[in-house]
Amino acid sequence: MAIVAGVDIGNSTTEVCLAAMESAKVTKFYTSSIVKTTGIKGTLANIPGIVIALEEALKKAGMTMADLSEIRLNEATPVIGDLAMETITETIITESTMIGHNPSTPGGVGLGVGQTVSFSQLESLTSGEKVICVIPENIDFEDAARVLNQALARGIDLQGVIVRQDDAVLIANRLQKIIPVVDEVTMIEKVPIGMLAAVEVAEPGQTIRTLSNPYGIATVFELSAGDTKMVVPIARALIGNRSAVVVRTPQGDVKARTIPAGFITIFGSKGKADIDVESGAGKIMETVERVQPVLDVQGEAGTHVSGMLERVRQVMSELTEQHLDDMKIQDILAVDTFVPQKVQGGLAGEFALENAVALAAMVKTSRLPMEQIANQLRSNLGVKVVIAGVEANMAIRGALTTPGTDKPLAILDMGGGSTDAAIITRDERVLSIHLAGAGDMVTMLINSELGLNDFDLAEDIKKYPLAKVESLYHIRLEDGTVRFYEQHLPPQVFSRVVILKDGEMVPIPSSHPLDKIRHVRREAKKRVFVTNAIRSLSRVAPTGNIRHIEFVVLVGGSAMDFEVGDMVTDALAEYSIVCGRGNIRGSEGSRNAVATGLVLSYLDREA
Amino acid sequence: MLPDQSKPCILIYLAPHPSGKEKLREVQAGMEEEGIPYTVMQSNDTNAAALSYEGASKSKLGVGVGIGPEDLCIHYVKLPAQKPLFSLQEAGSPVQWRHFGYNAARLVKGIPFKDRPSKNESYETNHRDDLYQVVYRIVQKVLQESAQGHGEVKAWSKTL
Repeated sequence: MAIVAGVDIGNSTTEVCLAAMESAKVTKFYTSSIVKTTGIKGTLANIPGIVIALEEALKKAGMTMADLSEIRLNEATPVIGDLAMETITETIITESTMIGHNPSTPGGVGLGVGQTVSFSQLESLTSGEKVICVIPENIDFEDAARVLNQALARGIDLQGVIVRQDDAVLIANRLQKIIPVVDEVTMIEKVPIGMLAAVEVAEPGQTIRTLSNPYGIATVFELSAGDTKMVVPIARALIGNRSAVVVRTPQGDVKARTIPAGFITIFGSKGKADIDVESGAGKIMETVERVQPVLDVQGEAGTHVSGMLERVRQVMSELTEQHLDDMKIQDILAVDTFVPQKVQGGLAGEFALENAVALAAMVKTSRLPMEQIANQLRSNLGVKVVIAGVEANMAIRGALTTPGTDKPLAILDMGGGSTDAAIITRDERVLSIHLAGAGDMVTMLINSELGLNDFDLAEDIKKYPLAKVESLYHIRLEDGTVRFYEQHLPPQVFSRVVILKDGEMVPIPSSHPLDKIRHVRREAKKRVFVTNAIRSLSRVAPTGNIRHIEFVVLVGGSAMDFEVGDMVTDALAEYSIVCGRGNIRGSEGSRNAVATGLVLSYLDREA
Repeated sequence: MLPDQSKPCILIYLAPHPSGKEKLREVQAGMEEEGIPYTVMQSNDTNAAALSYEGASKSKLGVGVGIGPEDLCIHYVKLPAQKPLFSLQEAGSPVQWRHFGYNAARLVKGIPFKDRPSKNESYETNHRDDLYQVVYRIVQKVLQESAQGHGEVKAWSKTL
């Protein structure tokens, strides 16, 4: 009897399957284990991870390294993916012209138009002037209200107030006239004085009407048609706010400019094609499909996209220690997205949503140095190490241990870095394909679209369901059900959207409502996984028609996700394909397919 | 003295002490800014946790604030009496008092609490940074001018 360990080194995890073999069949599957891959897949840095995974599996089976007769490694597919994102629009405010932020409690209501004056100037003004008062910090609300009321009494036409501190309601409540008051303007000292400005505060529960409308701004400032065109970005940035301030400065200007993103040239076996990145993800992917399989992708020299593709090549070349010229991009997945970016020149940390294209690129290198890993492992552990079979074949073998499957069968391996598909025909021929874009890209999209700037948090949002903390004692889950707690919840999570991660609650530090976060999460998954599922299965389908595939088994880390499996199953049902998450060996779920396949391939050698 | 039972509001229980008035003003301001009504009650008890719990249990909104000579608490009626939701175990600063007002109101409104400011309030540090920047710019400008034009820096360096 031989004890065999199958070891699958993936982009993000290293998995082990441990089994006992008699000459012709597997007598017993003992255990499996899964640990995080150390280093980049296919490099010597993987060894510590492999050893830990082996030890874990052996320990669970009550064995030691000495009991092992053979370790079987996969011939890891030499594909590595990388991600990049490029914004293709940009909003710049030259000179300060707008305050579009949304304090939680603005005061008063209405629209006011007048010259900006500083608080200290107020007493020197004569009656009849239309003014907007700017109040710096460290002025008490009672003092502010008293001085403003005195000014009103002297006949000054006070139209609105801009305040540094969170005092808007307090001041508005003490004024004799109802005027709009906007507060919490952090960079109040940058508000230009002596300029024409407009302040608008909407009724509670409503949004501003005038300053979010280009013609509204034109009316207020008496703009020409040409100028009105220029204020469109301001109006757009203010849509949905309850309060806003727009200041007109002589040289002030807001530009929404399109950054020339450049062309990419896709070299395919059916010819080459140029496509402008600005034309969006849809057009790019159409072009890729037209010329596929892709041999290489290049960007127009001196443009953003070129820099981005070069970066991918550079990183891959360094990792694999192969020449830059050998780095051919074999696939790209483009996804339209948007990025909330801080408006250049804003006064209260305003954001504008900029359009962007996210690209996942995949580089195929020549063989990874698996031989080195095998040798090193052999000398470290003193166990026979064999490199067995191609990853796709092993994955299919493992997938076929799922109850209820038979050949012909297609598998869809959704991992962290790439989406792989393979198909086995009745006569045992295997065809496989690797495409760019998988779990890591979903994380990137979530991170950018929610403006988190925190990859770990984005990863958690991707992996776990959400809930809203509705009181100190109960939360409402995504599906609307309510859960009660006997102990009160910590104040940090009160009224926040939280991630339910292994029994603990992680608050999401943003004001996005639960529905928005859920929508972004699900859309990101759909745009990457559903797109790639259809793309990859069409490529491996024997006739080129996805409808001719009957059975699909989902394997790999991302198939374990709580919703991706269902999304793909749902999408493929349209093509009348039976698709579901694998259950390797009837017990392992969608994990461990390759490792199990590696163990099973031991039998071929014996035969 | 009995609180007005008819009106839903936060109850503030105040133990009279020298700085009580200032604290009360900021707490009230915080609630007014958030738009939640309150009623102020006097009490002879000096423990803020007990004061706030009394407020919370009599308030129709279930939220009470206790202002004692040495501490400040926000309490919620469903919490255990000895465990107020927020408590400030020192005299504190006006900005901190104001935040107790905000957060008591936010508990009623069901929106996330404002982060509690540290003792060195954040406004002031901002201000100090800005001031530093202004001074830095002026010093730079003066140095540059003198280096370019007036030759005084040169003369000075020669003497060195």
